[in-house]
Amino acid sequence: MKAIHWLRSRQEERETAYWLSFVAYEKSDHSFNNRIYLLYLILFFGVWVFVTLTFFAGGGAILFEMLSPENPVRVALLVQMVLLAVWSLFSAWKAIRRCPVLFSEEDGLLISQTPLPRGRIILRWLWMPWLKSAIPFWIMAVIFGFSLAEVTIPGAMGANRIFEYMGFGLRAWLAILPIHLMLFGLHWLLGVVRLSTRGNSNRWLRIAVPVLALFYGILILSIGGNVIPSVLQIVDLILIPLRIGYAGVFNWLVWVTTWILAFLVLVILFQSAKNFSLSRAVQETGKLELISTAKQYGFTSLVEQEKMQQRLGVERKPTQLPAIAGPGVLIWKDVLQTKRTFRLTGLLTWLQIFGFLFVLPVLPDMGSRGIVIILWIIQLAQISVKRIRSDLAVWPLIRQLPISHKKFLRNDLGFTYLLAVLISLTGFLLGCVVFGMQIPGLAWLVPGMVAAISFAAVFDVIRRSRSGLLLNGSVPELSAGGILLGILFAGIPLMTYLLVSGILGMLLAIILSWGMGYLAFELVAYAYRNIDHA
Amino acid sequence: MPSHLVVQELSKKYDSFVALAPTNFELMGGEISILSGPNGSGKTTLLSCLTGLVPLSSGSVQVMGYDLYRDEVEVRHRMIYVPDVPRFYLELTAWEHLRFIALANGVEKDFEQKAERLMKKYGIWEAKDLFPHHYSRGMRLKLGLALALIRPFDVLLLDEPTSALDEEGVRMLVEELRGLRNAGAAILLTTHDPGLIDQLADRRLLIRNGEIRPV
Repeated sequence: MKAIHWLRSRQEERETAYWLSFVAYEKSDHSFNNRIYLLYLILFFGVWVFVTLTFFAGGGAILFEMLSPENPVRVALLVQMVLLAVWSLFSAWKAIRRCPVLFSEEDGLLISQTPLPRGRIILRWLWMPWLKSAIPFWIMAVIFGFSLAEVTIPGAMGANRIFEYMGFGLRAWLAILPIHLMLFGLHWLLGVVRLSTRGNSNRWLRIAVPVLALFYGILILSIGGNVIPSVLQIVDLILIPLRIGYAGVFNWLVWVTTWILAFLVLVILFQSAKNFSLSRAVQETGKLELISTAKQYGFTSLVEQEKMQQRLGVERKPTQLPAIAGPGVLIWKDVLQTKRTFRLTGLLTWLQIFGFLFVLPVLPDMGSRGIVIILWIIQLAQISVKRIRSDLAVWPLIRQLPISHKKFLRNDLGFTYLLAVLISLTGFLLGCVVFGMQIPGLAWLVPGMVAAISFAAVFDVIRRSRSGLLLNGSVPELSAGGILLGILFAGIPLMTYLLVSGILGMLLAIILSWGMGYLAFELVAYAYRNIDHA
Repeated sequence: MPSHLVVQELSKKYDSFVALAPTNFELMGGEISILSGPNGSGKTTLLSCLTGLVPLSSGSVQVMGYDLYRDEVEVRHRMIYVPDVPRFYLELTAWEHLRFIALANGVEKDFEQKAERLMKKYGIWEAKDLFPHHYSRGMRLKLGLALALIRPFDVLLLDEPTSALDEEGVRMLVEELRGLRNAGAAILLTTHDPGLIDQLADRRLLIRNGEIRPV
C-alpha cells in the first residue's frame, strides 16, 4: 500500500505543481528566495481572495434582501441546495454510466495487476478529485456566509467587526464541508457498486438517480416552508447543519454528527469496493484520463486526435464517392475526411465566417468594421490550416506521392479555399441585400483576400515544420505570426480600396488582392519544397 | 545491370552534429542490399534522406537518372520507402488507403484484384474496413508494405521491415523481396536480424557513427 500511496502522492504533487505554475511558483525549487516567494503568495492571495469574496458577498446581500428581507437565510439555503442538487444528480447520473474513479492506462498497468485491497485504493484516490469538486461549493458557501453577515450584523461593517464577519464565512464553510464529502462519497459509491457487481444488481442502480431527485425535491420544498410528513424528515440530515451554519451559530453536536455521517458513507464505500474491478475502471476511464491530462498541458492536437478516433469508431464500409486519378485524388480524400469528421460544432467556425461578413455592411464605423474583419481573418486562418496539418501528420505518405508540390498544394487546399470564398461572399452579399445597402466594390476583393489569408496561415504552419518531427506526426499549430501575416496580406488591398477613391482605387485593390493571394501561394509552395530551410 | 540509385557525396548535419558523413554508393537493379549498424548510427536518417523526407545537407541522389529534387515527380514514380512506423490518415480505412495510393499513382486498373491479393497475402483482408489506428503494430507494417507494393517501382527502401512481423509475415516478405529482386528492382533494407541478412543479402553495407562502408 506504501507504493500506491507513493504513486498517488506523485500524481497529486504533479497536479499541484501544475496549478502553482500559474503563479510562477516552482515547487521543486527549495531556495530561500522561493520560500519567501511562497510566503508572499500566501499573504497576497489570502488578502486577494478575501477581498474578492467580500465583493461578491455585497451582491449576494443585495439579492438576499431583495428576495426575502425577513428570512435571508432561507434564500441562501435554497440557492445552495438547488446548486448542490443539480451537481449531485448530474454526478450520480454520470457515475452509473461511467466509473467516477479515473485511472490512466499507466495506473492500469501498475495497479490493476496487484492484489491490493480495492477499498484502500479507492479511498486513496478520492481526495484530489473531492478537493477539486468541493472548492467551488466552499467558495459559494463563504460568499453566502459573508452576504448573510452583511445582512445580519447591524450597523456599518468596520474593521472592528472583521472577525465576526469572517466567522459567518467560516461557519458556512464548516457546514458545507462534511455535506459535500458525504454526497461525493455517495456518487463514488454508486460507481464503485456498478463495477463491483454484475447482472441484476445493476438494475437497482438505475433507480438511484430518481430516488435522489425525489430526496432533493423534498429537501427544497421543505426549505420553501412547505410542511412535509415526519417520515420524510430524513432531509433534515442535510438541512439542519446548513441552516445552523448560515444562521450564524455553531453547534458542535450537529457538526460532529454530519462528519460521522460522511465517515459512514466512506466506510460503506470502502466495504463495497472489495470486488471492485480495476481493469473495467481502466477500460472505461483510461482514454478520458489521457485526454484530460493532454488538455491540461496544452496538447490540443493529441486531444483532437483521441476524440476523433473515438468518434470514428472501429470500421466503415468502403466509400462510394467517385474519385479522380492523379492529383485529383486529394480532393476525393479531402471530401471523405470532411464527411467523416463532420460535426455541428465544426459548422460553428463556418457560421462565424459567414456571420462576420454578413454584419459588416451594417456596422457604423471603421473601428467596429476593423474588429470584425480581424475576427473574420482569425477564423478563416484557423480553418485553412486544418487540412494541411492533417496531411503533414502523415508526411511519409504524402511526400512520396508522384505529384508536383504545386499541384499537391492546389488540390489539397483548393476545396477549403473555394468553400471559404463561397461562404464569405454569400455572407457579405446577403448582408448587403438584407440591410438594404448597395453592394460595394469590396465584394470583388473577397476571393483574393481569402486566398491571401488562407495561404498566409498555411505558410506559417509549413515554415515552422521540421522534417524530423513530421516523421513522428508532430505538426506545429497556427501561430500568431500566421494570423498577423494574413492581416497584413489582406490589409494591403483593403487599405488601397479605402484610401484610393474611384474606379482606379477599386481596380488597384482587386489587382493587389489577387497579387497578395498569389504571393502567399508562392510562399507556401516554396516553404513546402524547402521544409527545414524555409 | 544499370544503377537504379546513385548517391554522391550525400551528407546530413544537424547544426554541428554529423548524422551522416559524406558518402557515395549505388544500388543496382536485381540486387538486395542490406544496411546494418548499431542503434542511432544513422540508418533511418539515411533512408529518410534518400527519399527526400529529410533534406540533405549536401550531395545528390539520382533514381534511374532522375534527380531527387529537380525531377521529383519522376523519382516518386520509381522509388518507394516503407518506414518502420508507417503513418496513416485517421479518417480512411485500410482499403481506402490502398485506393488513395493506387489512384495517386495512376494504377487504378485492376486495383480491386491487386489490393485483395495483397491484403489476403499479408493476412489483413478481414480487417480491410478497419481504421489503421485500430491495427496492431504488425498489421500496420503489413499495410505499409501493401501500400508500397500496390504500385510499380524500380527502387524499394525498407526500414526494419520485419521488426513487428510474425513468422508467417517474415516468410512472405522474404519471398516477395526475392521475387521483386528477380524482376529487376533495386532493394535496400535495414535490419538487425542475422537470419534475414543470410537469406536475402546480395550485398552488405555497415553504418557506424554516420559513416557507411561495404562489408
